[in-house]
Amino acid sequence: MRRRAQARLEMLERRSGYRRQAALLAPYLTLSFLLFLSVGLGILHNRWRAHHRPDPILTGIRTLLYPVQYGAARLAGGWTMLWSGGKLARENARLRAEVARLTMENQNLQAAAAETVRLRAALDFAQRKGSTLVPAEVIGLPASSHADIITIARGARGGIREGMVVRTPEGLLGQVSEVSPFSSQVMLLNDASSGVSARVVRDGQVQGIGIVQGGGRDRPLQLEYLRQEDDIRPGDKIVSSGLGGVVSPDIPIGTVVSVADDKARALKMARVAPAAQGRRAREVFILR
Amino acid sequence: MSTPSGGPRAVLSLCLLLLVAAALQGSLSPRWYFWGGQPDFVFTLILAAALLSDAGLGALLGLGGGLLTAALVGETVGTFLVSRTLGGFVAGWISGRLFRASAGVVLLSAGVASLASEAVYVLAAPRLGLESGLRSALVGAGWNALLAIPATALLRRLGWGQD
Repeated sequence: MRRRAQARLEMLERRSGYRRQAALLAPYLTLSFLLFLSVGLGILHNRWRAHHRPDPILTGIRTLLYPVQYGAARLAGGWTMLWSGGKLARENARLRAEVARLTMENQNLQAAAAETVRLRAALDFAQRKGSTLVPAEVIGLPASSHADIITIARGARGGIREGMVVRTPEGLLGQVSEVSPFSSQVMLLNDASSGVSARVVRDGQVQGIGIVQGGGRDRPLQLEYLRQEDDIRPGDKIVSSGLGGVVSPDIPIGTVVSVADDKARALKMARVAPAAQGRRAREVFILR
Repeated sequence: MSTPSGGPRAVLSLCLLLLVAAALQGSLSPRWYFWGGQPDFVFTLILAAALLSDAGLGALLGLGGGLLTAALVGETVGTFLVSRTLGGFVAGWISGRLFRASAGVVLLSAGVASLASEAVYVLAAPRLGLESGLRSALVGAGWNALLAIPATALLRRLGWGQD
């Protein structure tokens, strides 16, 4: 009788010990499972992206977030307007004059464009494809200090596709990196993994061709792979080259600030002040 | 893993707060950008909730916060998920040993958890280079630690951490 009671007591103690051990291990097991899940979701995202398919989880979250983001952007815009109320009348008058001037300039440019088309046809040159400018409101500035990516209020339902070029009136801003039904992510030219082929232009003459790469926020763009013999000077304009066929040619990118020798590669490189300021943009245009 | 204290009302409140934080992350947070870093409102809320729960729930909350941030950024998704899951776990783990509801302990715990998470991100996805990345991690962790104090107080009022 006594032996049976002792055995039962030992069994209960063992069970209690297992429970304590399980309770101690539980958080680490949960963490391990969640880390595996995280890595799995990351791999799935990359696979979907490689096949140009939207990530259903992130797309769902973005769709849920869109009305809140849009509301917050509107609220921020309204707040700014409230503060700058006195300036609005003057701004309106200035913009009316600007519209009148641009309308006339546009008429002249259209005539020049028509002439160019006729001349290219006469010389049997390939015709350049025109693109439509689709306006979109910026509803999210860079959410992380590690990536220069903004959110715009136009997505797949507005005809936006991954890889489309985004610009402001000042110049090239970036490229659409991800698309959801109502919004899109735009990777700015400043982002560390961004790059575009560019030409250096002075007085209408091409001085060199290189690749403009982003260096992160608050840092100038870098124009790399210039040849040693290229005559590049501070003040030279940088425009997109159109090589590669993704970005149309002649979109302003920035201005050369300084030039340095890239001795390791026997090349030249230049620092470039960007023409378009992504962090200040309120409205952008997508080239479709 | 424990269930969140405060019941469904507290969970719903956290979900709504996370949505607002995600919207503010793209409109207000970049304006507070300073010396290479900016606050992460979503992660701050997650850290505050993790400090008021335990390690297992903290890790789960971290994964949720990572998904929100990844949806906003769209790049390095896996790294965001792993780093935020670890950050939530660390905050929950510290709360089980240290947390006594004092502002100083919240500041320290949120700072350590945030720094651990950001360090994992910088080392796993060094987009900005090591020096800039670590500076950004340090400034971001500082912001998050400061903001964790009001966030913890707010979540307490909404029922989190009250058994």
